[in-house]
Amino acid sequence: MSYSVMIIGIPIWTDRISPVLDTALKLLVVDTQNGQEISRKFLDFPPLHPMHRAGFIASAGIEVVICGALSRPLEQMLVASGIEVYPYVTGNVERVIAAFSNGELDQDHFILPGCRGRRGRGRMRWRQGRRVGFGYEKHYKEGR
Amino acid sequence: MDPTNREREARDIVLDSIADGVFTVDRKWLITSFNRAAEQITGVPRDEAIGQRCFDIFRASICESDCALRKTLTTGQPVVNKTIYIIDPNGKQIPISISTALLKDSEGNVVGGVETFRDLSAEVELRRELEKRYSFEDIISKSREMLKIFDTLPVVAESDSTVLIEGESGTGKELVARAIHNLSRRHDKPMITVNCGALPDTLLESELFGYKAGAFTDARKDKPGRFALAEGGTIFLDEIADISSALQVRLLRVLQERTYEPLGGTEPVVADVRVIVAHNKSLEALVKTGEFREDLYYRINVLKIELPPLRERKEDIPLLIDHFISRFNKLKNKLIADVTPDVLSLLMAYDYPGNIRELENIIERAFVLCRGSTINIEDLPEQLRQGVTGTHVPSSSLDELEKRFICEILRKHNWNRTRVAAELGVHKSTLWRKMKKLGISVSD
Repeated sequence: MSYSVMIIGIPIWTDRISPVLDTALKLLVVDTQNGQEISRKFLDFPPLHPMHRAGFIASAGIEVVICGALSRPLEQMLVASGIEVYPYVTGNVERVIAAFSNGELDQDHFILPGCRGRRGRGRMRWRQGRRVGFGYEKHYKEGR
Repeated sequence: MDPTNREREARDIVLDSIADGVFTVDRKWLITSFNRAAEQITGVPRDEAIGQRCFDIFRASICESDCALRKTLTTGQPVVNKTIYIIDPNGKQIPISISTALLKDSEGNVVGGVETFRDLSAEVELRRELEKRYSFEDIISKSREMLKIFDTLPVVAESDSTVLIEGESGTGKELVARAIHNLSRRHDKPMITVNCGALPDTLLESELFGYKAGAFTDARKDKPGRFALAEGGTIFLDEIADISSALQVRLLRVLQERTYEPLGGTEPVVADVRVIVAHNKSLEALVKTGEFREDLYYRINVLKIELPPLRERKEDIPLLIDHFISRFNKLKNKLIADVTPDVLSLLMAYDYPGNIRELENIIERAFVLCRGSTINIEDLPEQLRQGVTGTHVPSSSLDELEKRFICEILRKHNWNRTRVAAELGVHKSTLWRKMKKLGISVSD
């Protein structure tokens, strides 16, 4: 049976997305299969130079990062590590995960104030006239 | 107008007249006022900020771990001139100085907090310029080749092996060396740069290894060399192939045995220094022509980073232009917003033998000449303007005209090829083939 999996990393603070990935203290790692959450764990960011954060995130097997603000160099490092980044997201973590699954992360209340133009450039995926989310379908790999 | 609105309006007028950013929060951390300077520094419009959680607006390095407002509201004590950074909507880290205080109503009840902040970007930029202290943050790229390099940098930094950086002049070899040093365990120790091509060989030897008193006529006291100054840190030897073969032998010994002898010294000194070397030509080619020692080449070619010239990563030119405009605005206290589409087309079409440094110089020159808020063709150097007559009619080939036109549309759509293809009414792959033919390179 073929199935598709994706590991999502979300820096969190209390029950919300951390405002700044570069200085976030905790990372929520969500394992999903066919769009459904199958497990989750929390990781503490080690006290590293922010530029080593990309390596830490990549070493956790994370393919997609949903985060608040982040510095351009860190975004460069994440992209260079092959990680897809959905930046400038705000809100309650559970609602963000649900919105991501449903392809609704582009709704205004999930976008950090002042960042509307910054987000969404080339992020939205449309298939057969139906919005399928922020690169969501792309990450589901067969047979893993 | 009711009294509350009148009061609010009067308060906003006062706050807007202040040059520092000011915002206030209530006890639930929701923003209740946000002045004009705060809008300018954070990049968030007031109407989007009011009523939002302060950390979603301010996005500061201390929000989670060491919030100054929280500290003030908890202890009642103000925080004064604490230096932190915030992240603006473009991912720029903006250094600011913050101060906080309690906000009380007319009866003395604490109703929230107030935070004032000052943009330190200009001061930081000036200091960096004076100290020539640039870092990874100054490497601007979205090109595939550079992203591969970014990906390897942390791994390269973690190892303690010698690194060879090759790239034409102006491609940013020193920036990469500094990034490696900053990411390494040696980051809190010095990084010493030596341009081997700038000093005569005899002087270079004493510069690198130092000398003992009495080593030669004028050596009255011991002088530490650059290796000693870099102890525990990193030494960056630029233009390495410019050193003589005799000095190459000495350097080989340092790399092999991790020891050196200062001039006039008798005891070897142990060197705990990471060595990064760079050159603007292929060292392998110089080995083949006998201009560089083969054994030294193999000793330094442990980890090799090849930096592509700017002409091979032209998709970075708009990003670099924005970066330099932002930097020179701070350094020269100007408010230049952009370049005209004509200027961008010319800058995209140019081959930059001097690479990024040449582009930086072009923008710096334009800053001197530019009188408005946009850099025009007239602000560019003559060699770039050649081929342009009048204001908008370039005297060039059809291909060049086509290239400029496509560059202009690409710029308009922020280099999104799908949107550009849609505007031009061609398929995306047709646009891609055309761009390849015209030498316009954009990473996916």
